[in-house]
Amino acid sequence: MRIHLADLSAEGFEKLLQRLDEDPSRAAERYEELRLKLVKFYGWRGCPASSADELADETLNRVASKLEEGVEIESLNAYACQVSRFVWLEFSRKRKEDHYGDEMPEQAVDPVLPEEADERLVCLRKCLAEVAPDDQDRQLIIGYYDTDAGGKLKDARRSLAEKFGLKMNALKVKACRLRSKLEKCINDCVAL
Amino acid sequence: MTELDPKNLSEIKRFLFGEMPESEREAVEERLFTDESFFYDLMEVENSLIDAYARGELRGDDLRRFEASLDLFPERREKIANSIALNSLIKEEKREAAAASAPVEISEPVPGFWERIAAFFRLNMSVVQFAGAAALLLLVAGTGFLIYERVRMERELAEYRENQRRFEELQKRQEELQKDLREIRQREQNLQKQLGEKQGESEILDQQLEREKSERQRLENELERLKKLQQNPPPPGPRQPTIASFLVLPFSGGKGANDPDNIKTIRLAPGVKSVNLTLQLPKDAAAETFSVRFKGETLASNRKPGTTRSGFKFLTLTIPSARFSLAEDNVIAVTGDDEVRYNFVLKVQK
Repeated sequence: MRIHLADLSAEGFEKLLQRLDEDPSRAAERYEELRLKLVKFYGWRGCPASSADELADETLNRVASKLEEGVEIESLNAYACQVSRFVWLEFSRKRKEDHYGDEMPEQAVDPVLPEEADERLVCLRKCLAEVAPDDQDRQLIIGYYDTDAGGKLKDARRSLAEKFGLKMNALKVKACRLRSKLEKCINDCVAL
Repeated sequence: MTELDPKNLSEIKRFLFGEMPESEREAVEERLFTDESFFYDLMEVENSLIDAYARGELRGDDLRRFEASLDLFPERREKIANSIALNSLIKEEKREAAAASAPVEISEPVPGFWERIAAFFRLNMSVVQFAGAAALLLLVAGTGFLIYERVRMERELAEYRENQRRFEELQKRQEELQKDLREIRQREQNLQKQLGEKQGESEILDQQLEREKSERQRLENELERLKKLQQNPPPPGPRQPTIASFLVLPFSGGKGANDPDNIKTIRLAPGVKSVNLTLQLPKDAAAETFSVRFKGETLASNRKPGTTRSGFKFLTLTIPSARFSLAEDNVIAVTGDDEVRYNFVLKVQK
């Protein structure tokens, strides 16, 4: 299901990056973070993962187009939030129109069967090598989500933060970002 | 679960479970875009809930609310599957790490220079002593390895059982859903059948009404003619009817019969001399002709049925009211030329 897509010029994209940060590498990082927020926003609105990615890109395109038109935007994040609501409304309306007359509910996601679980594990190994190519990231994600420590989970994570020279909050942010990338990679891999 | 103050955690859970009204939800959404720390708290709590659910550790209210939220957030099911995979990988890696370090734990440390000198002199021990020490060392190493293997296999077995339990739960849920679906389909079929029968019933009644109207018209004309002939005073008030008409559905025979609702109870007024019955056959009745028996007597043979616009077949017959039993069920057996028999059951009251 597609909604109207805004055109994005290279100039518009450049303006968006500049607005996010003057330093190009930090701007790319901020862009990724805003995109992650948008994907999660749509997911928490009940949007399927495949459409959430598409809607996040569309939102970023529209924000970039406004910047290119010279629209004054005070807070880019707050503005992206407003735009994402419009995009979501359009998407919901389109979905309702496309399903008009359908009495059956949307297809439920099938339960994960053992064969699929094996396939997912194979994909996870492949994706871990892609998303966390260096050993430190691999150790971080495995260490952070190893919950065998039970009640001492906080202590285990503190040790992990010390090991990598990070503050607890920075460790959490890094683990969340890595996991998000890893999950997207696994979902794409399983869908192939 | 992550470290958050209870108020924030409660708010985040309500958001993640889709329990917030729109205005409150919008406020949380604005905050997630502008407050980075809050955004990662949301992600962290969601991941913790998913991991706990995937490991079967979610309990009570959280479990109920989480499961209720799965229909609202379809991508969460994939996240659960990913969490199960991640958990398996972590366990595998830990097992491999333990296996790699196990031989190191039981091997002797690398000797220093003076230890090597001393060892040189110890080599002068008897061969028997040396063999004994070697055997002891092998025994210790072997025992250690066996203990390690046993622990590893027990862990794997527990994990396998847990996976099996989760798989069985999923299968059970799938079966329940399939059962619900079958029941809904069956109900739909029954309703369709009832609808078809009612349609046939209505058409037969229409035809019956038409016949009654024309019969009444004929009697009125006859009466008028007699009046004129005899030039008698006007006839007395309305007479009690002497014929009662009923529509009956088969109680057994053919598809979908044996319905207790199809036992017809009829009440006969005192003056009724005969009963006019319309027997509605099921739509799937394939025979061309039918014979009708009642109380051991053949009332009709090779009778061709009437057919409604919708294709329902029906037979009409008249039986003297005195022949019906008040004490027991009256069974009229209709047998088609294809040997399929339909029983029409009547309870008669006066």
